[in-house]
Amino acid sequence: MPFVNLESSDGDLVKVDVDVIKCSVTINALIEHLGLEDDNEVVPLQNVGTETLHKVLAWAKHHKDDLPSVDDDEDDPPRERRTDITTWDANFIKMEQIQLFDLILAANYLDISGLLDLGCKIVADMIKGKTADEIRTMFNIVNDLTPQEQEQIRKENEWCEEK
Amino acid sequence: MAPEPSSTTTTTRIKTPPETGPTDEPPSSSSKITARKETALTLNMIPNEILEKIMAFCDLRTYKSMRQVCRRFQQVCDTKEALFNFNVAIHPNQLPHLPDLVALTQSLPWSNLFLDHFQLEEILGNDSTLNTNLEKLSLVLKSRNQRPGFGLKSINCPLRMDFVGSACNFCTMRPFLFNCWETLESIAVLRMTEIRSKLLPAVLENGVHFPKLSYLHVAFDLSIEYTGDALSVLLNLTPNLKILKLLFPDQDEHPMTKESFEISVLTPLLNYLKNRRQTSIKSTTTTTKFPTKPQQFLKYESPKRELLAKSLCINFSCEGDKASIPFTFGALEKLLSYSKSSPTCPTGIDLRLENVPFLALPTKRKLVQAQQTDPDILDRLNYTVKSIVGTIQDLKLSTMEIERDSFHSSCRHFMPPEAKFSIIVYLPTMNKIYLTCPAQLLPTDVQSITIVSENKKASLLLSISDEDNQWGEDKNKCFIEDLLDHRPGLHELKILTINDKKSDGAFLTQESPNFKHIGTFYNFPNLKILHLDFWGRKNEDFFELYDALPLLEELVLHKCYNLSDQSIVGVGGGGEKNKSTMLQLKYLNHLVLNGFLQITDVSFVKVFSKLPLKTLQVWDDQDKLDKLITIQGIQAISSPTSKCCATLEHLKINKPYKASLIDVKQTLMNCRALKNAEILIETGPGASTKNIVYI
Repeated sequence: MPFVNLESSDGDLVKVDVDVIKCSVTINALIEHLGLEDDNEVVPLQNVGTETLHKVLAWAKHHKDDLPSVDDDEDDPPRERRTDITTWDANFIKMEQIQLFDLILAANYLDISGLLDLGCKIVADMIKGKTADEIRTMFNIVNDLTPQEQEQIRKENEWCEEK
Repeated sequence: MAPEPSSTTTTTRIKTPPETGPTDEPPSSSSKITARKETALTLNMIPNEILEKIMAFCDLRTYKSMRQVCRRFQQVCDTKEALFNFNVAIHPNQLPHLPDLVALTQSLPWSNLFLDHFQLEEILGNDSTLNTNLEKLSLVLKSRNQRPGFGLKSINCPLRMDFVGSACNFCTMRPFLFNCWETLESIAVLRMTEIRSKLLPAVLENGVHFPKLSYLHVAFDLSIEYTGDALSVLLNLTPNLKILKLLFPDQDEHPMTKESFEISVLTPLLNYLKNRRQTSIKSTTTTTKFPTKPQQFLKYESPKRELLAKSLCINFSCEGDKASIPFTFGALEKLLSYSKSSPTCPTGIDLRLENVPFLALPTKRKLVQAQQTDPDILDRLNYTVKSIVGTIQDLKLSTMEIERDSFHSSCRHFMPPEAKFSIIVYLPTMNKIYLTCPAQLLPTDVQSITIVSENKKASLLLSISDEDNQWGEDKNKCFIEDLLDHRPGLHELKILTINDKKSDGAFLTQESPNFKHIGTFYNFPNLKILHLDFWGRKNEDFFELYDALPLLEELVLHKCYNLSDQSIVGVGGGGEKNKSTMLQLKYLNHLVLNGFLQITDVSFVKVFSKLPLKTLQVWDDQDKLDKLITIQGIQAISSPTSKCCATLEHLKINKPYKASLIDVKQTLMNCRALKNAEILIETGPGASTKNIVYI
């Protein structure tokens, strides 16, 4: 079964090479669970819109030949957290904030760790060095902390203020 | 014929989809943006699990800001999951004062806090108690602290202490040992003389022991014969050890007698093993009065603990020649009698011995003598050796050991006939097998070697030198044929000549008939790691390697002087169109080529740049112009479109021809994963030594 039909939450069908989407644990599990043997069978993806699905597939297609992630040996020391982003990925991820969060949610739903990591790294980069006020403004977040709570947190954080 | 579908196609079922068919080009920032409803997502609507993941990529300052954004963020930041990988390495400019740290650690569930000793001294300089929610506090002490110790009274989290080298003295450790003994989990490198003269008196005075200590690394010093009591006491203070590392001084400079080894090392170990075994057997809690005199420790039994460690690994290491440690066969027998693998001790502990000096095995002459007085010695020897190999993870037979006429001859004596030269047979737990044998020292009647290891991860390092060619070509041939025939599941094969000056690698050179057999790589379909010296007579040999080993991840070719661009990119220079090129090794991520005929930009452009390499080393001690690469080769692997560019972490090359180091450095800037680049520069005309420039 080289191809599979994915149905987005908008109702669109996207035919995709199984090899391309093998990075998604969710879709692999669905294919296995549904026992799809026919090219006409459909895998419903209730939480992913068509536009986002296309972006996911573009990423998956580019990373199709990446080495599969190897399970860490329990005896191995914890590995360094990789924070590097390739040029292709950096260009790929240039998008509106709303699209970015859609993509992150889709990666989370489809269980594509590489894409989810990429999205999280980008968001972390966006907020890096920002104050709490700047983060609230950037993401349109309402501050629901009471003045007392704010003061308490400020005190707790004092130790890591740069001197 | 119907056109073959592309990898993705969209069919509209309900409404018209956007026409953004995916391509391999990343969507640009100006790509179409669909108008959104007012309920568009913001960071505040992202689920906690994703926020936690985002936090793992943040630095400390950002973390602090995120805690202040809103209540939910604060809660997420304070969850254990968010901090699981968030090991706080405190910058010197961010040193907290103790009250702040106390407040912080009481309010936050940090999973790990790494401090070096200067920071800790600053933080904990006052006389205080640190009550903390820390799951683990790691103290990395790398330099001698001449100032007075800290006044820390106690820490209520597991504590790991890493004292690096001999830089730390007892003054540094004292406050930890005595104030944090209940939570101490690990101590690295304690000097025996200081334990004896400083630690023990204080311990006896205060009744301290270390109930949670699982890792202990002690170093014997020159006065080893006087420190047996110290080791006894120390071991009995630590009932829950999982790893005990014993570091011996250089035996050539400070030789140890058999007697001092027995008194200072063996007896304390045996007492401890006996104590551990009895503790694990007893069902009721034993409450023995804590000893107050050194000699009482020899009889002292630690109280039973609920979670007594089930296993113990004893590692014997030496600053010099380990083989000189007077470790006798009798000592081995006694130690192994407490192992659960012993038939006489089914309730023993899961004992593992590492780096045991193999001089312990008696020679054939001694065996014959011993048999006259002890007819059962062969049975016991057989059992002991099986126990050894069953408990040793990393067996290394060095040339030194074999030259001393101890190991192989005695093994051959007691091993069953069918085992033949099976010195490394039945090694279910062994991870690495090193066989380094001068061929003339091997028994002349050896016909084959069978290597059986149930451990699928086992690696094999086979190193044969045939200095005087006494072993002969026929036996070499048998050796290799047998190896190839019996190891279809082999994952790692390293065939290295260790003495190429004398033998010029005769064993593996192209003139040798054995060469042909080594080339039959089809016998190793699962091979992932391959190291070869002096190998490869013609391009076809390399092509066969590419065809036969599709799973190869690591390839090291040392002094393969027939290796050229053609051997790598294929004959005809057609790159991917050729069937046999190094590109077939699509899982290859570690490539080392040192010593070759000719490797130029061609290989870099057509092959190396298209492999997902993490390590690339292409260098030669004897540069010639036609071997050198130019800046184009570096550009090929550094190009954003190169597969190698995204993955490359370690690079070692000769300096590109007519390129400045600045150019090289700038070109390599594209390689974002690059951690270490070594550029070799010749120090002068004809000089073989090189300067290495790290970028």
